Amino acid sequence: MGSDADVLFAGLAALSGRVRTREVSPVALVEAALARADAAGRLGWIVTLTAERARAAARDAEAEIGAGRWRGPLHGIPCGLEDLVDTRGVRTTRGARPYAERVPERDATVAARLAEAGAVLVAKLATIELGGRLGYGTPAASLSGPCRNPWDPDRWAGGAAGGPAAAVAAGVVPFAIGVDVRGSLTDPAAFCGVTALRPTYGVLPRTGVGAGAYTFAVPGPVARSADDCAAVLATLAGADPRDPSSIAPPRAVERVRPELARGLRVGVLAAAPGREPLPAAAAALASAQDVLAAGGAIVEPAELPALPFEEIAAVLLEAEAANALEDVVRSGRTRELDDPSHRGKGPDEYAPRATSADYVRAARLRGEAQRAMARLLERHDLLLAPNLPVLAPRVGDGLAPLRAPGDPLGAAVALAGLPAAAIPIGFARGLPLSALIVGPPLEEARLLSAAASFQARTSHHLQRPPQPPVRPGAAAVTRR
Amino acid sequence: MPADRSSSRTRLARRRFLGALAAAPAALAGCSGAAAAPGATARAPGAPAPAGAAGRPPAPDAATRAVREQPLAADAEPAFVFRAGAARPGEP
Repeated sequence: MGSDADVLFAGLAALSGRVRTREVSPVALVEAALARADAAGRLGWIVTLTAERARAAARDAEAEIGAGRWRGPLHGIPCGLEDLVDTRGVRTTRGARPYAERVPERDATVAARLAEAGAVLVAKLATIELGGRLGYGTPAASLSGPCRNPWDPDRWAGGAAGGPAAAVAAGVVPFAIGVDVRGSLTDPAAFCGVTALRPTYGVLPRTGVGAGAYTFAVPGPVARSADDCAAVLATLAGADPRDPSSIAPPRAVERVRPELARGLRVGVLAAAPGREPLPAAAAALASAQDVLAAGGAIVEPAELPALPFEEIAAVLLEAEAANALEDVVRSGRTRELDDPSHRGKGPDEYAPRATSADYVRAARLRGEAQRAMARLLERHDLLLAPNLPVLAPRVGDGLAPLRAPGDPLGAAVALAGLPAAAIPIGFARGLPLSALIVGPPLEEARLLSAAASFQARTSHHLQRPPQPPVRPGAAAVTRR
Repeated sequence: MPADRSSSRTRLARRRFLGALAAAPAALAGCSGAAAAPGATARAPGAPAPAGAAGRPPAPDAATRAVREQPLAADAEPAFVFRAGAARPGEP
């Protein structure tokens, strides 16, 4: 763990241990993170650097830890937040020009809990404009420009949470918080080769998270490993009086261990028609099954129920977005959005095409979908599937080919509020490949233990993309 | 008697409610069911007119059509998200 990059890629557990023993200085750690953010330059990962606030928080953390008041595994650790998450006194743009100067008066609950845990916010990270809830057709649909993939800057990092995934992949921060609606966190994690957890709906409160999807959105951690995601989740989870849909933390999430994967029945979902993975991705998924079996899991075939998951989700999401984003739609300021599809579009054109009766019917079908997924997850302890069937598209390309195959599993997970983890499982043409592991509600420990079992036997999650040069004079992280 | 007083209050409240409903502006008609054209929605004065010609709802998209065509049990209740307080597996 010699260079700054080594330290920033070390993983939360190792880093936290060295911060606690004062071998690593939070102040120097934050300077190294800021230097890496600076080097990232125009890659479109960062909306706002919170340098001075971060330096002050790091000094406080260093003093507290020096005085023997270590708060926990996030204390003194740099982190980032997707710019859908409100931060008091720091602009929170939702990735969109109409909100470019919006400065919240309160922290989102997850932001407040990070601060209480002593984590040091270094940057607000890129998101697709309005979290993508009004639609977008190009990677350029973001206030910060196209979010470029650290593995190949000519390619997209994914959306909506491209900034968190890219910043973690590139070692700017050891972890970040993004928001998942229907793959909006796990998709960019796949493209960037990092680990991300979409928790059970309600486990991390939505208070102050402007995702425009009331019954779908869940904040979640993106980090280098399943262990790191577990540590972040254990610190932040819990009910919030300001979010009536928030719930108690999942059990035993602080005790994620690879050996807990032994004996788990892992159902491998066949690819949906038209969504067959690339040959390299299919081979990587087959290899992943072997690795899980080597860890004691029982790998078996599974089949997604035949329901129109995507269509049900589309009707509900359209209605929620129309309501949540009513102000910006009515004001006509959607014309300021960066995606060309919004230009010349009037408020009427954003009206949902489903009627209120259709909405209720979709909500009733959501119940069917939830019961069908519950039955599937009674037969299998976990589900495994390829996560995105294609490699990251080029930033200049439209996104229609990426979306054409659809994503019924992603929609099913979102409708049922299920936890899911994206894990790197290999590479093709120098770009990451990923799998999605899905579990029953509140079984994050089971899910992450299976991911940890896989990661204990592989090194895909430890690979580093080419590093942008850090400017001379950046502070050394280690004390000795 | 208390029961009579209660009934009287209920009748009074009902009369007031019906009176208020009769005097409600047309914008509320979409909320009252029978008076509303199918697909009509309540909109505040000055709000944009609904999309679609002559008050008709816009043409449904593919997702909406799929939702309309998907068979559904008669007793299926609307569901939203994983419910707080639901028993966890293995717990009472």
